[in-house]
Amino acid sequence: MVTFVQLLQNQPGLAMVTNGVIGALAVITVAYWLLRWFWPTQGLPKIGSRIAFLWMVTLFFVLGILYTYKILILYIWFIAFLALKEFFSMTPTRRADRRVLFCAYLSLPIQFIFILLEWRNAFLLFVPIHVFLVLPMVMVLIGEPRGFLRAWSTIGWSIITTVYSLGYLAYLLVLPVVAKPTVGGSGLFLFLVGLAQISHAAQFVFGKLFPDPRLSLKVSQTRNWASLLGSILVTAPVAWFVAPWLTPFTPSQATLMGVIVAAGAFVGYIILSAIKTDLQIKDRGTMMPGHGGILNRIDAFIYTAPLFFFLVGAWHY
Amino acid sequence: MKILQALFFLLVVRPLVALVLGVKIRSGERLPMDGPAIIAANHNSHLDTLTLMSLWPLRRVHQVRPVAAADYFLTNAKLAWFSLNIMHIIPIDRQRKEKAADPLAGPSDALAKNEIIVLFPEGSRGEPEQLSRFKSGVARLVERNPEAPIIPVFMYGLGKALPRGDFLLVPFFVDVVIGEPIYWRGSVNDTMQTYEAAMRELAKQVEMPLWE
Repeated sequence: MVTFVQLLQNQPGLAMVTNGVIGALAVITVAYWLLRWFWPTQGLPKIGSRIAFLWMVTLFFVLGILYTYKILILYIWFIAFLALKEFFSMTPTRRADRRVLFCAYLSLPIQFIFILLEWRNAFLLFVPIHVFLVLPMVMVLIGEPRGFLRAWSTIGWSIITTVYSLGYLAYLLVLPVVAKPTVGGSGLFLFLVGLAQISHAAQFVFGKLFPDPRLSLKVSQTRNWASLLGSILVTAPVAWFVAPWLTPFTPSQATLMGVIVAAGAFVGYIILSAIKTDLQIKDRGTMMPGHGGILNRIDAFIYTAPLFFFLVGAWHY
Repeated sequence: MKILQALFFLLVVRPLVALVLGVKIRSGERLPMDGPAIIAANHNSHLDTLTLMSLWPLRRVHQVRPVAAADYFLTNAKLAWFSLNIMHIIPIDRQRKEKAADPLAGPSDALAKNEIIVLFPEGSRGEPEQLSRFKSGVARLVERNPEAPIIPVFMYGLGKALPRGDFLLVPFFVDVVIGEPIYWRGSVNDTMQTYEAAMRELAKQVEMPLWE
């Protein structure tokens, strides 16, 4: 257990930004309640479940920095399990693949135990080997060639978008504290999650502000090219501004990271939109767990978490 | 045995249903909290009964009585003890060895005691995630107990998680849709037709991805 005073001394930037995040989240929550209370019929974005999710992440994050990061890693593991289960429940599967799906679920404990043990090479190699070697082999041994490629691609894609991407998010937490400035994995985690949420909000706002049909995308009604540009314009300066408190990045690295996070979160969103259109799942706003609700929460990390991790590794670890 | 049953549901069934599976219930307010009532659901898996019973608060679980085949659940001593004391089943004789015996006596008694009965009109689990023909016993039961409504319940996902003839549990989200109560319609045929139509409507509310 680290007391809050110790945390302020050891990692003042992290402590300050965490307080700021909690404050901002509180303001947003109250504002959202008030808006819903006074103007319930207005076209308010349906962000109630997103706010609840962010409070949960914040709670586990605070527990993580005060006690041990393992708590937060276990929580991410649980989210990854829910997301994988949601993927398998929404997509077409073959009855012959029940055992394959079971093996696919096994990737969760294996990957997250590698993370908890901090076996970096095993962590980096495991998911590709599992998806490209082990699962097709198991499928071949069970032996149903009809629909093989489609079934394998669906299962592989499910693992990549959930276990693989969230694994990188979790692995950020075990990165050690570098001496100067005193920032570690938790700062990087907060930086990435915070920027992803900001870019998500910016995508929505800019999509609303510039509903020009020439900018529109076929796969999404709420996101267009203005969303991408706008979220980059918002996220990059924020990244540049908060980076000194949370990360070892230089100003230009931080700005580039802001651009990458905004672009990656945008791509994650529209690809998931395309998948849902393909599966004929319609309204994204009212989705519940089991029908897209959890994937909605993690879409911003599908591309940003691995990219972020590799760039951090190349620059500082 | 009420305590044992409550503990079993608290420590085993509810964690399993909430964490490993995850249930999304629609029109949950239609679930009756007091008997007499007949919950008539489609049957795909051994998990059907457990999932349905976990929908009631723990202090009410003992009022919920699944109707189960004596030839399956009472032949093995351990399974019989579990079925009778923990699951609190009402055994019925599917083969009707003694022609004179009244197969609906057990469920009727339970309804008379204001209990909630859970039964599966398809009779057996059958092919997973496919509706087979409904047997008319449920209609004959409401004919004898007209104060008890049939509550149609459609479930999806459990047949994928644990189908008949398999022991490996693979997690899937589960949908449970609860329908409006159906009372005795004057004839067995009309009652069954109303029930079948209700089940078809409930099935339409669930998104079912291809499963072959």
